[in-house]
Amino acid sequence: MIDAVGGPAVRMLGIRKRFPGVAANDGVDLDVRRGEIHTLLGENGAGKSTLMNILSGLYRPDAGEILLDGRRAEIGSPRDAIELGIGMVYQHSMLIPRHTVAENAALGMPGLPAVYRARDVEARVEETAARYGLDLDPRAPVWQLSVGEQQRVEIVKMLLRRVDVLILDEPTAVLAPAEAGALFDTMRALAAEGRAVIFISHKLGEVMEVSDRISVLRKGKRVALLERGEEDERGLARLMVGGGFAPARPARAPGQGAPGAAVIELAGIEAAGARGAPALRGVDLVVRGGEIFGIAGISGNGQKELEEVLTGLRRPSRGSYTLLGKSMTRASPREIIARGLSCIPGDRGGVGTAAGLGAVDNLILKNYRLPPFARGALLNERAAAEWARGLIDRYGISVPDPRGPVRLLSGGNLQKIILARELSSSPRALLAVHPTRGLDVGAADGVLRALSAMRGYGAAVLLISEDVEEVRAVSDRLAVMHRGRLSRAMAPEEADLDTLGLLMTGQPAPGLGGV
Amino acid sequence: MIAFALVKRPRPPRALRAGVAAASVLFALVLGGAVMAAIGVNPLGAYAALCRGAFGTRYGLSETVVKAVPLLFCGLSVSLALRMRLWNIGAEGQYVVGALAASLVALGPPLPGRAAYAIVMLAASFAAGAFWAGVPGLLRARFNVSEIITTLLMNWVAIHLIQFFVYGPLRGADGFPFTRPFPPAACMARLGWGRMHAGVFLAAGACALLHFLLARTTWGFEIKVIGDSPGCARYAGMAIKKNIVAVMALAGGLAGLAGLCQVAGVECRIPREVFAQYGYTAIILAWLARAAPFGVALVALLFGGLLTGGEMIQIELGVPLSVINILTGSILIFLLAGDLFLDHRVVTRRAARGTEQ
Repeated sequence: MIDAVGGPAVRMLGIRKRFPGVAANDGVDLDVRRGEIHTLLGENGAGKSTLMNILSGLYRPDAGEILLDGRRAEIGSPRDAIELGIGMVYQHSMLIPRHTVAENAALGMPGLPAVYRARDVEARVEETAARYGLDLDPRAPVWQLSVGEQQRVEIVKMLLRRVDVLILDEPTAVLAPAEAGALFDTMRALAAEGRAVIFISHKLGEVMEVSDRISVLRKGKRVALLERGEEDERGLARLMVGGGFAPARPARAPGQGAPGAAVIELAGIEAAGARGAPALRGVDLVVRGGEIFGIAGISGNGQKELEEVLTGLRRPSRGSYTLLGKSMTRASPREIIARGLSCIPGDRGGVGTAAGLGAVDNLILKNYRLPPFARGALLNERAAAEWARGLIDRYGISVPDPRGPVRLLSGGNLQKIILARELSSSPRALLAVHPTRGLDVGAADGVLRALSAMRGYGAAVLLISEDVEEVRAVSDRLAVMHRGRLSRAMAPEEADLDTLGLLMTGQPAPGLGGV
Repeated sequence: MIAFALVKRPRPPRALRAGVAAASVLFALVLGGAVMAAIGVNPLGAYAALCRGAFGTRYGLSETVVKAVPLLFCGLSVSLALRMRLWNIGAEGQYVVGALAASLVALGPPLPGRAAYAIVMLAASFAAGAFWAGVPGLLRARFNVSEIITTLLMNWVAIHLIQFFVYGPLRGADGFPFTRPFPPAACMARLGWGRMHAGVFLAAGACALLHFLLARTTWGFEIKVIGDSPGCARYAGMAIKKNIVAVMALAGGLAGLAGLCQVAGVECRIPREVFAQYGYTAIILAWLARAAPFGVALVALLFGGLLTGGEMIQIELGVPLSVINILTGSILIFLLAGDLFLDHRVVTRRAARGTEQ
């Protein structure tokens, strides 16, 4: 290390990167010091990830230069970046699911002999994890871990590679508040040791909490560099979005008419998870027409299994599931769809859309067997294209080529395709799982408004989300999911952040009778 | 220092797909030429003779088409399965049981007239092929057993089964290892051009029908979605297991019809050399045609020509037929390697090390 704590570890000067049609980075300057947590703040598409992908060697800039400790560096590949001490923890896990934590850490670990003793690596993983307060079992296979745990593995992996500059790309998008708090502690410990931590986020609250300095990006340019405490949340939001902006959430309209009849009814639902262990352990739930019922909780506590039971992808081992008065306990996904349940799945690219197919195909995914799209066994391509064009216009989906694979679209546009498809059938019941995860403020707002609109039409809306604020803001009633069980249903007024936090971590909340 | 790097590309342009296919064939020709040169044959002369033999004469052309028929059926079979990301390595076995089933009908109790023979033999060979592929389909759907292994193993069962019949119950009176000839009513009509037979129309019809099925029907839509994203298909209410069995069965039936055409159209009995590896060649075919039915037809003609021309240069120039196998095999290898260039762009860059400033 050449510079002492406080010196600039990374300087990026005039970075430009164009993709077909967009200038993702349009002359960005950035300097990150040792010992600081430097936040990159910006909406989706502002260029944060592109800039960091350049720093971590995934992309090469069209112009501009990078200085590391004052020396010019050419970073041509992620391997170059690692050798230069730059490590990035991506939004999506880059681990090998079948291998254990230690085996994953051993990959790319410097100075490891070709034949190594597993126990040595396990010990090093354990030691490093413990030093930074990361709770990990080095012998656990990665596929058994929650997203949060996988993220910790990634961090440990980077620390074992002795990185000086650690980039975290929206790490809290998949974490619960308590987990996020622990991550911030780790980040602070890393910075205190003289490492530079680059934190990408668009959640203003946590950005305020954890950052030493903030670089705000907008449309490929850095629009502000702020010291800690220089701006409040409103100011940050304004800088991020440009122009006057208030983080608007659709307000609940109280007394929108009493909720109607029970639409989704679960009684004593039990189900095993993918690994055979019990994932749902007696879930009782009633969602009425004209209400939004929110389920908060850290993901991995049965949310995925609940989604699968409700959509017919997983059969409950016990209990009953009734939809609009008809038992769906043993029904197929198709029967449940026909009964009137729409679903915005938690996995947008793998479940919600067929990623390699075009927007047209994805928009008729659930009604391709109905007229006018089907005439008998024949598919009416023209009707499908026309229908898709209508939805693309109405939902403002930006699709350069309606036949091109949707995997090339942004998360926001992908979600709009799913929304358009799922809402266009005027569902009586709507299940939305992490519907705003990874979306920028504007897109998230649109999704939540759509949910409110469905409630207005009398649909029963079940919202499963990790974003406590979001659940509190839009739900008429809410409950917390923990270890396969639901807490008592509450009004949002009773559910302050402390109570929810306690329930989410499984502690009995005062006055609520626990989980 | 200049280094090369690969950059992922989201969507390969159409022209590049065709280019990679053409380049694969070209490289294979060069490799085959090198082999021929090594055994003392002038490659250019050999290729010229090959083309003349395959496409240059009336007779050669008819032989090319005759060989393209089973290739087309088997190619469609592999392609259909590929559309759902299923690997039908068993077109060979399905072809063989199709041939066997048709022969058992032809050599069984007499049927009244050509039409009756045509219908029953068609149904029998289709059903036999469908069953032969349906079993692996069922195993895959029920127990997630890899269809690559099961379809491959079923080939050997089929081959031993047909050998049992050819050397046993169906053996001709003259003692040679092929079956008694079929009654004339059980043979397909000849078109009066070499050995060209009515199966040509059957194959062309199957090709058009499969294209229609994939592109224009709701079932084709399901196959497309399941092939792209099983998770999404399940969520959209599509029955994946049922579709795996149905697609495998239809694929097997198509390969079974290849067997029908070969025994009833060309040989009018089961010849000893019924195993012409059409089922395996079909895998290359399907890959080369990117599983598109009309593409398969085109490539089947090309490969039919290779086989016909290959026989020609074997007779004329003494080039062993295995050179043709080298050609087809290396086409596949180059094709698979070429996929790298479809998904990636090659960029040159300066060496990427930190430099003092």
